[in-house]
Amino acid sequence: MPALLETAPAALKAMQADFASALFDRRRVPEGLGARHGTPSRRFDVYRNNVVAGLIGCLGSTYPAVRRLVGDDFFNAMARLFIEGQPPASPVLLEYGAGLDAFIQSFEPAAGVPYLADVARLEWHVARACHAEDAEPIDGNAVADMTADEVARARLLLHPSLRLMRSPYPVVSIWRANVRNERGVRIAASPNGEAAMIVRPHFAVEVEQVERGAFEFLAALAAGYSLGQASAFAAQCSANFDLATTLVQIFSAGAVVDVVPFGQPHPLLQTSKGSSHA
Amino acid sequence: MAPELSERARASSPIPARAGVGLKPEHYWDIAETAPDVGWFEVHPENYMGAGGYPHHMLTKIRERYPLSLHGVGLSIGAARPLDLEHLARLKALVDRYEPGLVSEHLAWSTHDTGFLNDLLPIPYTAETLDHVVRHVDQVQCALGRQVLIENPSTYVLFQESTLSEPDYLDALAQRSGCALLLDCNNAYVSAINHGFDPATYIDAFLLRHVREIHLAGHAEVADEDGGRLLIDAHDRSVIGAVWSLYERTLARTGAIPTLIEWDNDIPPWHELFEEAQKAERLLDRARRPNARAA
Repeated sequence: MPALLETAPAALKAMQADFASALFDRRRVPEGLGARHGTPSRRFDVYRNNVVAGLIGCLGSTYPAVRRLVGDDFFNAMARLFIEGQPPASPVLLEYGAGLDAFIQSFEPAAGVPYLADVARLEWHVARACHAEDAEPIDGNAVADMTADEVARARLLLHPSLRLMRSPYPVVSIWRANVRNERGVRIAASPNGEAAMIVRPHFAVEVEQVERGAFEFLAALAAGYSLGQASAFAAQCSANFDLATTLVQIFSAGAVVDVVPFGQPHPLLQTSKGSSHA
Repeated sequence: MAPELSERARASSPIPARAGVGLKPEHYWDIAETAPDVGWFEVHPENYMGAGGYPHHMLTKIRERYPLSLHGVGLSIGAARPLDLEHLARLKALVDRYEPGLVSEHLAWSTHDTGFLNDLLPIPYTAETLDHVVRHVDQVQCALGRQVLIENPSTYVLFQESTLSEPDYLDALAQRSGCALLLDCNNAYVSAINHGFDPATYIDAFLLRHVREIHLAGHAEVADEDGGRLLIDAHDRSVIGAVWSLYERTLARTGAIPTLIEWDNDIPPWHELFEEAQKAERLLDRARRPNARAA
């Protein structure tokens, strides 16, 4: 398309620059507005409100636990600052809100809630998993008939929605207590924090707390290492790592979509599609 | 992977001259379970631009049974800046996947160098902006390989530099770009009250030859700082009587035409929304009778 040949009317360009900046500047309204009534400021406020309140609502539905942890007033004020600094780049708002965790990390007034940024990071993973590509999970029978040696040399192809994260805080417990409205969730002070596996096997996103070794195991699988390599690496990272338990956990979570026997090219290396993790 | 549409879904592509409903995730199950007698559904394509997941699963299910219309809010055809080609390509992919009976957008802008502004913002109606919008609509129709419908917006401010009326502007846009029009009776009412003109006069001035779809919705009312009525296109309640009257006035000239009930905020239970659609359906029935059309 002849984007270079496109000549927008100069007046329209100027009007829209003025209009766009006034949307975020409450001290003035754009030039050149005509209205039946004297002052168009409350009328212009309708646009301001649609833009900002709409985006705050969008962030609130992506980050329900963050909102609940800090309360509506705090969340709305924080979201407004985030929106002004990082408005959506695209009209696809189900993709809006990346980077709120980093914003919170450096947002002084939120310093009293040190785990807030990690809860935001978890919620962003949930939002991404929600709209990730579909794939059909397989169950553990896929490895049941293999010899121990075959299992060790095989690779697991993980679900495209799978995301991994870990935190020095009990992030899964905090999230669960605040998003699912589960009462009486005991948030234990865990010295090593928590790791999470986020996956959407079919339609619902599951967030599961995983042991430190299982986290490393999944991260290694996601990077394309064989089961044997990933398992050895996990065992080095955590004395509690148990391969059999972990395999049961990840297969029953629907996190595996294929087993690639040794000698067959790993689909990750062909399509560069795969799970991402933090 | 995007599943192929079945032959059955393909066969039901055209949007009938019946009442349709804006599809909300809150009603997915009611619709999938009870298969209500609704003419068609409409969605915002932006809400289905994820790669996979539940929204696509349910929309595919519903599309198997009903005709579908895509009503965009993100193309920003009124923006001074060039169209977002990546977004246009994503819309094209969705059109290919769901084979909608109609594709529509708004006479508005929502993008600027700073990003997406998340509202349908107004443009001045001048010969200059018309040339520009005609080029954008042409570009959209070429990219999608089909005609699109452009909707009259709700507006809260006017521009001193405007020289054309909104109906004349839209008619010229349709004439020159080959697009069709979507007449939103609620938007016409909201803008008329906000700017102090008679909504019936607006409808009468609207050249209906290009209109292929009508929208109906509810609006909120507040006062401006001078005590004037300020209507807000909130889509958060039922359609008011005055808008139903405008709709009947329109039908008297167009005959039965696809009509959508939009309800996007404070979303009611399905039966309430269905009842609202039935109301439109009854007026469409009347418009279908012989001699219903005004001369």
